[in-house]
Amino acid sequence: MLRSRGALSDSTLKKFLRNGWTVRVISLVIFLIGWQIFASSVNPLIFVPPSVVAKRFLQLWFTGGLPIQTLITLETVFVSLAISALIGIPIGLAMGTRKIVEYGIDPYVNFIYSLPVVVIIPLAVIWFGSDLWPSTYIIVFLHAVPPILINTMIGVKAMNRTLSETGRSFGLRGIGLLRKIIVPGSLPYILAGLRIGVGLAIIGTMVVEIFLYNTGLGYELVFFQNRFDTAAVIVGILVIMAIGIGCREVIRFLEKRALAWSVGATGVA
Amino acid sequence: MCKNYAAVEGPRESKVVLKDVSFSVDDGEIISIIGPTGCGKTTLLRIISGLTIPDSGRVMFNESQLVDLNNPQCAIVFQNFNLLPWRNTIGNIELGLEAKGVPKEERVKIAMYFLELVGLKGFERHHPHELSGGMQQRVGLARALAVSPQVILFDEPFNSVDIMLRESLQGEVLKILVENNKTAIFITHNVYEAVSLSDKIITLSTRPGTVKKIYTVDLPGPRSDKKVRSAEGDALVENIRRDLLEELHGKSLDAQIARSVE
Repeated sequence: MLRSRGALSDSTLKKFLRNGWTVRVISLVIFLIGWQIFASSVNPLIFVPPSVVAKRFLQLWFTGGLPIQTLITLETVFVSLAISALIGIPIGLAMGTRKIVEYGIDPYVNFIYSLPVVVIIPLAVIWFGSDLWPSTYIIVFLHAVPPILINTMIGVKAMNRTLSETGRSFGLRGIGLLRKIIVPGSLPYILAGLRIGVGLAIIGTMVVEIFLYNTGLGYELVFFQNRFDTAAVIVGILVIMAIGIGCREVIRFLEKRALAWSVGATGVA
Repeated sequence: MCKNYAAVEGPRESKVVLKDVSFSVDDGEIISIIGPTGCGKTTLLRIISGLTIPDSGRVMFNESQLVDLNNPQCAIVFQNFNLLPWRNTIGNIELGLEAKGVPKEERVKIAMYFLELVGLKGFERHHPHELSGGMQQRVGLARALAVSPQVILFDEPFNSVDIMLRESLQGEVLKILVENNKTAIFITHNVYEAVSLSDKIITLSTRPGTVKKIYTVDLPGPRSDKKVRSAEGDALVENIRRDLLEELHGKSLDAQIARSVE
């Protein structure tokens, strides 16, 4: 009796641990407890426990400028992502459908992809000086356009070629073919490109805010660093992380909604 | 009267795929083009449809009209169906009508009519991945019929259909074609299929594909699988099979080809 009950609870425990979310939550709780214990024993100027971070977050969110700075950052991310999509998707479609366009453009895409874009900042400052607007968008575009463009191109190529042929055989041409066959057919990859692109747009935005700006979450990090407000710096990092997760999940949700017919493309970064 | 005339082709890697292929198809006639694997059957179908442009020669409709991909006279029923996976059944049937600029309301009406004709009433909102192979091919047929083409081209249409359903689908397709007086060209390597479906059978030789022989199928009774099982049908099947085997004679008769001739 006892043994069989033991076996039962054993298997319940196993089932419990096989559930991804239980394991994730347990892991996070252990992490937070470890952080709390460790951080309580060091100089609070250097490191702070999660309880202090939480308190500082509430302060900054409800009485400080955190919501406004978050909005400023979000605006830069979304405006530049939208423009990156408007640049990257059409070029990617053209590269995917026309070899001559692909060969004409792919060297530049490779150059940009191989470049840590942050090194463009000194040049941008020489060109535009204190005028932050053009520098911002150049840096963010250089981050976000390549993955959108490359994924779109790969999507067009990965799309069952016979489908565009089917469209052609029924008399579809040019824009009609693009709109009715090629774009919907490569949509899984286009959305995967946007999902990767939004992450890179956030990186680009942080780069400009940290190096050039006096607003936005990136600037907040520098501002609080100078004041040795470690808790506020960690709050900033966590908010940026939340933005990243949120954006990716929104696009993932769109992917699921729009692509019920597809087995799902993962895309390439 | 509808006439097809195609001749000589040899684009890829300057290898001649088809050579001196010439034949005609009458209005309302159903013909099959049969030949060993790699003889250029599919290239011929692509030329007839206008998807591939031949190096020389022409495809003519009604003795004057040239094939025009912007306003296709042919509709293809593909071996692998080639339905748009993001569109439902109705949307797929509408495709060719959209290309023709038919207004939405009329498109839906036409699509519904042909959906019913191929026996898929009730599956309007289903997506291809929710349909069986046989049902997908019915959608493919409805899509082709919907544009009322002069000729319907079938590219080994029953290959990807479950073998259990193949015969009944064949019968239904034939019935629809005959009842609607459609002109059709089947590409196949199945001799039985060719004999049971067609008025005329063209055998092609191995590459470069040329017309080897043209058989008129003149068997008693209605066109159906049954007529193959008559003495005349057996003889015809045997003749065509011998034709194809002759083509392969002296070449490596690998198992796959031998099977495909069966």
